[in-house]
Amino acid sequence: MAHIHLPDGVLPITWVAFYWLISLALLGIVAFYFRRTGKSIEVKTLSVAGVATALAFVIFQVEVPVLGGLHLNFTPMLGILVGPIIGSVSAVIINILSSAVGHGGWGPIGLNFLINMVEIVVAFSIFVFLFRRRRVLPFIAALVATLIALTVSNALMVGAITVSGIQGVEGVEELQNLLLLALINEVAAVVESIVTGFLVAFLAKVKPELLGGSKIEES
Amino acid sequence: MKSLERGHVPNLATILYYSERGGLLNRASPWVKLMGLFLFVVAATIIQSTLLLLALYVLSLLIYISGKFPLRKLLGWSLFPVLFILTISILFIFSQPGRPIIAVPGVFTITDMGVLLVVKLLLRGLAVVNYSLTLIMSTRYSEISGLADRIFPRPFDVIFLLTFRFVFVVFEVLETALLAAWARGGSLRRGITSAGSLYAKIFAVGVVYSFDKAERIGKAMEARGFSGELRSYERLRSPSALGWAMLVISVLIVVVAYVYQGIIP
Repeated sequence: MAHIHLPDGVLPITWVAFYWLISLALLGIVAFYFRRTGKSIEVKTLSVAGVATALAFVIFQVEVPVLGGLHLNFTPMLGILVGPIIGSVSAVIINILSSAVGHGGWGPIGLNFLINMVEIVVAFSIFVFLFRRRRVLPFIAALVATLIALTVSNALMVGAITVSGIQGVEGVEELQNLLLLALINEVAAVVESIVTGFLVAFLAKVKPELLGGSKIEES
Repeated sequence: MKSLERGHVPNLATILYYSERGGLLNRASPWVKLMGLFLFVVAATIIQSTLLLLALYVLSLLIYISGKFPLRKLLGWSLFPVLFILTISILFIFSQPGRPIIAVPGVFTITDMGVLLVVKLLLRGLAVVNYSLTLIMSTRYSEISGLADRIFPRPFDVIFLLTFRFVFVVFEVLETALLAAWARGGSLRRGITSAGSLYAKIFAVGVVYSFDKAERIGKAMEARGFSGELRSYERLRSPSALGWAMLVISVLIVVVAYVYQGIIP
């Protein structure tokens, strides 16, 4: 995986609560946004959000036979497809479904969600900038957007775990170990970026209207 | 769903098969099971004693077994969580201070505290994974939709329920595309660009087909009067007296275990 889903028991309870609070505040803003514009949410947007979330969850289950077998996150791709607002709803649902089947803990959903959100927002922003404004080739735009998004989220994960600490770990060698983990994740991020690049290039040919976020983001 | 169902990846269809069966756990109130999950997460996070964590893990395993769910599948499904935990913690067995267990002078030293740290993290993580899988394998789809309807705000609940519905559709689409590619030698392709390009195309077919399907379903739902509200009319069973009693006892056990864990190794 380009980033790992933290399991339960890794983070201290205070940090679990802290990340949950930040995530709930973010989701509260999104829920408020939907409530304010509630009547204008198209049925099509809802069904597209449902499908995109299901896609991200299912694609995560498929093993890509590269470097001994990798599972893609698909969250940067989710950002490119549906944008940050719908993406935030998708991210929390993916985390809940993933936790239900043991891929990531319930406690760290707060942090896992924040990491996913960074991937979605960064990938969406860079892709829109490169593809729409700069007219960069879709393969390159998606590859760059995904790689930067996953690199940033990787750094965030290392930073968050370093600040929070791992339960039972004594000493300051934590960061060095996590940097090694980040390096491994970065290799996986390169693979995911290439796959996402090919995927977006294909979509740009056969279904270009799918790229660049949902109508909600544009309005 | 043979090509997608790897030993280490839980298949939702398999999980839902078990959830629709009868059984003691399946008949329990979903609220009790949900509150049980909360307690498991809190206990796995706050308890520091190795013995108590082992007890928590054994308890989660016993609850899973009491539901008559397949143990072999659980072992396979535990592989991913174990991998996540080891990825984070494995290096600490070399760097944690403690009594050396295995030492190669000048190369590495494995300490008892380092091993204990990894074991504790595994017990914490796997106890919750076991209980989570028990929860989802013993709760019917209609009950999950009922919970989502009552817990999530709009439109999170609608998107959650649509996602839960679409997961099976998308699974089937990707399954068909993967089998078709493998039948034509796709499984032999290796290397980042070759395998990456093939899998990207398979995913892209999945994306295009799924979005087309979403559009059609959206129109069909609108034609039938859907306006963004998706209500669940499932009457969720309230906790029975026994359910309440078990919850209260569980809370007391967690509190006592937390307070007195200093005297247990």
